[in-house]
Amino acid sequence: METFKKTYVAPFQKSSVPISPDTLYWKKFTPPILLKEVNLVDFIDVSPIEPHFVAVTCSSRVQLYHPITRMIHKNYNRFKEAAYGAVFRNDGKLLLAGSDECAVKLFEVTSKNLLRVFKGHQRAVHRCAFLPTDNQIVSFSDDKAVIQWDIPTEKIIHKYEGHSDYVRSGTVVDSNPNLIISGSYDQTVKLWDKRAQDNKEMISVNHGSPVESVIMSPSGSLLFTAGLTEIRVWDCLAGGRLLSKISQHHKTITCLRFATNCKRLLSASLDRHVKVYDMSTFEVVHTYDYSSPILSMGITPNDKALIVGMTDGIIAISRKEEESAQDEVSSEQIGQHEESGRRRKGKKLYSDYAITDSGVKEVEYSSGKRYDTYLRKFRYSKALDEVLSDYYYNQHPAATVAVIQELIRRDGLKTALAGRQGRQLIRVLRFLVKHLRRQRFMRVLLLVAHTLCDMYAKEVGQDATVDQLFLRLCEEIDGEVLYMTELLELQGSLEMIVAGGDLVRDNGIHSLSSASAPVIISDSTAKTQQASSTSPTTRLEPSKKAKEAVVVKLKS
Amino acid sequence: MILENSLKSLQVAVKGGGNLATHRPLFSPDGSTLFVIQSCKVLSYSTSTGLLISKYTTPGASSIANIHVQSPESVLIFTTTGQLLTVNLVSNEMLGMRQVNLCPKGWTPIGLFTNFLYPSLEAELSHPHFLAVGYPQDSALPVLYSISTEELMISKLCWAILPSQHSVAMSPSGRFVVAIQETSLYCKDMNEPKNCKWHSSGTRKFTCVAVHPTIEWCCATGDDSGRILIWNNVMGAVSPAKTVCHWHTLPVADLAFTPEGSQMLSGGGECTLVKWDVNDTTNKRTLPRMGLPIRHVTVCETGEFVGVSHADNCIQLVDSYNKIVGAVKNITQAVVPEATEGGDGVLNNTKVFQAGIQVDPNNGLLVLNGRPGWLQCYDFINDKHVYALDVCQQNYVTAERHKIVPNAEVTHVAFSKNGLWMGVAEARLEDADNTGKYSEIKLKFWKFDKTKQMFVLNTVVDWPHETPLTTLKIQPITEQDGMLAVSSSSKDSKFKFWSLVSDPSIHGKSEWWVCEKSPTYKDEPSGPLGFSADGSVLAAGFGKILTLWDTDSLDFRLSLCHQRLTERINSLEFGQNVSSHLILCLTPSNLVVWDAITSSLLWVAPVSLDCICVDPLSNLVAGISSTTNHLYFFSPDDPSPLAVHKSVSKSKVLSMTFVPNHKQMESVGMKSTVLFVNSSQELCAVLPKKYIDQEDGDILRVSSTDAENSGLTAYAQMVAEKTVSLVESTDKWGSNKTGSSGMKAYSILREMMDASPHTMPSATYYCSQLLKTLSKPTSDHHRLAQMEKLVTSSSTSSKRKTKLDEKAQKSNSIVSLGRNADSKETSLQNVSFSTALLQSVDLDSVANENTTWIDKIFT
Repeated sequence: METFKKTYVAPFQKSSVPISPDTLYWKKFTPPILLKEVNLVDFIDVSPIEPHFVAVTCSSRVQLYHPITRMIHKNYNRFKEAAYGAVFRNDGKLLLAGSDECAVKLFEVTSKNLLRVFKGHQRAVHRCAFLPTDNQIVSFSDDKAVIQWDIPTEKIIHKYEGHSDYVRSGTVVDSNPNLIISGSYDQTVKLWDKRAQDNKEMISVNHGSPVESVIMSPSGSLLFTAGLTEIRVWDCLAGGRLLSKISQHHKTITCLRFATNCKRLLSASLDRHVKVYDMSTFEVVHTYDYSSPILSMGITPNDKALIVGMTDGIIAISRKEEESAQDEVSSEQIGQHEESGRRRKGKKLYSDYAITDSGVKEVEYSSGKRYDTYLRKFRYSKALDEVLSDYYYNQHPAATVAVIQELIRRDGLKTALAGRQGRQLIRVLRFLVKHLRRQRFMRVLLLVAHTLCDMYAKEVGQDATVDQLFLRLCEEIDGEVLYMTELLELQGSLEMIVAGGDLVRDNGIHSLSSASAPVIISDSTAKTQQASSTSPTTRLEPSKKAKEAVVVKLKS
Repeated sequence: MILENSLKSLQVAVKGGGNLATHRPLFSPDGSTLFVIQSCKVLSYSTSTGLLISKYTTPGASSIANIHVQSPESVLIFTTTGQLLTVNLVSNEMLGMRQVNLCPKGWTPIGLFTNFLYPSLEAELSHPHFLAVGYPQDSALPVLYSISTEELMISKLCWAILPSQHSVAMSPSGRFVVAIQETSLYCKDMNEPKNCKWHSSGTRKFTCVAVHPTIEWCCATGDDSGRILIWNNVMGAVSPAKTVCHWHTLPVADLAFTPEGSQMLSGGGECTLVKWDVNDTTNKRTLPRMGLPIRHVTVCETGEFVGVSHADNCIQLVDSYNKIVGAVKNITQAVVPEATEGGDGVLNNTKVFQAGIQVDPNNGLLVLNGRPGWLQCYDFINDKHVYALDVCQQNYVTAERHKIVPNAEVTHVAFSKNGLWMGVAEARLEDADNTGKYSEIKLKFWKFDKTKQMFVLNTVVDWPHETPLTTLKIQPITEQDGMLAVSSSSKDSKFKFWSLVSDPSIHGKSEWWVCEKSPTYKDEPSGPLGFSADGSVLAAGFGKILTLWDTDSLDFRLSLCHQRLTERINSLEFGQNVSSHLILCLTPSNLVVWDAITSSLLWVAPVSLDCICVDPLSNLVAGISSTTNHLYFFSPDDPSPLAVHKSVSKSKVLSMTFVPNHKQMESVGMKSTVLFVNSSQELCAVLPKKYIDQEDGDILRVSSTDAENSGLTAYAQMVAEKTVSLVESTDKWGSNKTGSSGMKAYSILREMMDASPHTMPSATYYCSQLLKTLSKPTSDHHRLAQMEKLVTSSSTSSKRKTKLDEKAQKSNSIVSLGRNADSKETSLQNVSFSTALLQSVDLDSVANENTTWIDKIFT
């Protein structure tokens, strides 16, 4: 005995982007929790060590937030003027921030002590960074200079000059402690090597617009620069060759970050979006929307939390859902309880096993859809009534159409439609009125409309609502006919243009128009054709050659 | 011309097919064997395995009317010509033959016997007799005869009974005989010659009858309204009491009582077996969706099985718990046109095997239509049903009482050259008067899943064309990229190019087919399509015009027509190999061959062919005309045929194909065999004479081994009696065991190749993984055995060497050999000893040594 094959409801792809594993991954972030700061959020950095404190630079202070509890953990406010770009050292013990005071300040994270102040810049310092080794830092300033400092002595080791405008972005390379990269408003990004004697840049690339953010892949091969609406990807190993341009935002991109162990790139922009790119193809895999233009962004390692700072001083922290085993178990138990409770109300309960440590899993009793049961029992009217209910009418009309198709297949449509009165008939009609014009249902529903009109034509005039619906059905069909006529007219005129274009192209390229025009060949013309051999079948090389070979043989 | 002579000496042999459901199957008394009648053959199947045990053909291949199983050894076979044969089916020996006098004095001669019933108990009859149903030569309806067992004296019992296999029944003793006419029931007590009764059913027409095995004068009839009547005491003086059992909507096809008579089984067009309790007919059990309409129901004498034979040539065995325990379906499941019960169901030959025969490139087996909406794969060499693929995936819709409901059918099948893709067109067509508005047409693309070894549905296109397709072809190129499929339909005047696209996103592994272009030509009806052998040119027939299209740009190239050729092109094929530039077109009365290079007409032959097929391996074309059934062999460049075979088939040939030969045929010079199916659903092969005889021998050989195994289960039969391995037990490279590890290594390599270089971890990360997967995981015991092997191989090779150059090493090797024979412990010691020899061993043992080295590292 075969099992009953369930009615197949064709899944129609929604017009939205298909769900990829990436979308699922990035959708795990909860809706952001908003925290209000006093002024625009200049910079966000995440501590590399647990519990990944978040340093938010805003106005004249740097605040440390806990990424899970979102509470303020520490507060560094020893700035007289605005502070900029506070970053952690790679051990998470020191914090470095630039400021409008033309000085760079170094704090100890736990004690909040101000350890060092590096003075020497003429203008504000917007970005600074720890070099990976050697107890050195580097600062990028509005005085167009990049300075490398020694921490213990607060002395300038190197001063790199070469930019012609504010240096507003910069980074160092983890894998190579000798490299410093600076991006400036003079539209260039320069790569400096501190081993070089002449203080000249090693590589200079032109971004084409003021550079807002610079980031280097950990392997030191790819350089990402962001400015205006574009991210450019440079291959540093090839001496600064432009690999790719990513242009997905429509306003200035303000911040770049790596995520998922450097397999994804995040970009934040003033257009209020954060976009996630794949690092191998540089295609967008996900997009987040925020309420205000975004200035800064940070993400914890392992993608546990995403922190975004905006121009109106709001910090949005979204956290990824935890998936610990314990949670799962408890949620499962809760789910089971709920489910069994629900089932007790609705259906016969099949088993009441207590939940034990190694419980026997209850075999899922799948009854299938109710309309399938009716179809299996040849109760066609019931099946149709079932799928004309409000749920299918609003949520799942495809199932209704599938069932109607199955009824047509079994030659049971007339049986199912027969003998309907009042409300039952109204349900059929309202479904037709609503869904008839949908292209994928039209073929089936037109048949239903036809059959219905044939069957109930005599009963018109008995019920005002039914008459009203018949009139609306008529209107819908008239509208569709008009629409189709218009579309066909449009198609006709387009085809004229396309055909004209083809003609022009053909005349332009092939002077020999016989190639595309139909040729009527009789025996005599065939021979002349053979002689002139202008036939365009050039692909059949082997046999042609064979023929030539034979000819040669005959001649010799 | 060797080829010409060999072509002329070919003969046609029926290789498979044929209807198993013409007669009721019969069980042997112990229920272990099922006997099935197939025209002139009796096939014995094992009920436990479902395999064919033996095959008996009647002398002179005369058709069988019916058989009777007397004992496990002897079977009575009654042929349509009146021969009564006693046969031992186990040894295939005929024990005796008697002839019934077909023309008794004063009678019109009996032309044909159609049925035969023999009493199973011969005790209590005064005059032992058996029943036969036959057609006198002047009668349109059959007559029931009684024939005495001793003298074979014929006497007539009843005129004009129903021409059906189920119209006559008798009690086990043979005393009580019933037969049905269209609307009346005939009952007779054979011990009292005068005692016979007639009963009427009113307006309903009888379809089948059965006699209760134990209760006297009790029988059951089924009629065309689906009603079953149980008649009690039909020979009594008063009118008999009737019990009405009405479940069936469609006519009852067959009725059977269980041996004890407590239950009654009925089946019909609903594909449902109904089991009635005779004492309480409200108590019934149904077994729904058994496949296709039921034709016959038989009960085994032990009551163990019920045999249900279906319209699709499938016989299912149901046990007493209503479970289907086995099926006999090794013969082609031919589509039997539906609902002959309804009376108006005309046997429409064009609907049989619509998709024709195709060869599945994956395994070289034949693919053709199976049950409605299914494809079957059939192994023609072993005459075996291999698998069935549910293409339409819909429930089989049974007929309504007054109307036949059409089911979806597979109309076209096409395979890609690499066997990875299969295109299938299915259609559910309503009758013509409905103008097809209720029809459904679908185009499906299936991908072959290498791990599952089956086709998986990939793309479904609803309504690819407005009307049913005329052609579906897939471009014969081996690479998958850029492969095209084309479909055409005559009514909407266009054909469509379909191509494979894949998901552009980074996670996208999915791929599907989309319509690339749908060209038309002068609003002519689009006809047949054909790809050239290399797939570069597509030929499309538009009415009488042949057009050529470039498959790269999908552009029109040129059109070919001739003023004298005014008929539309029915089908076209490109030549193969040396004649790959030639296009063969079939019009209703001509065969036209065009040259695609010179764009000229090569030749026209005024021969009316209905299908042609081109041998992919040689320069040979076979064509067949369905009116005369003549088979022509010709070469595309020459209008004169190489060979003509007249009337190769009794019924209309529907489809034909060339199948690459298996080894036997090589001597003849033909690389392929022509196979065709005809409308009587037989698969025929055109073979040289000596192979036809040989094939029969093959089958017998197979069946004799099956007979030995028939007691075993299907799994037990898979186990070989003796296992002989030609592979050395310690395989050097572990190639026979590293199937899974090879896959792992492949996946790592894949990962390395797929990832873009700048996102990749260091090479050292992969290196150890890769090496691990490549080396064979070994246990200590295994390693020991391998070392032993190493020692012996190195010593033997060195021994070989010593024979050549006679050095001092000879003594060493002998020592090592001698010790090796002792035990494992000593051979372990030998390892260090024999390493000294390794310098002189040949490449073989060097390789051997290498693997052991790797093993040592990673264990």
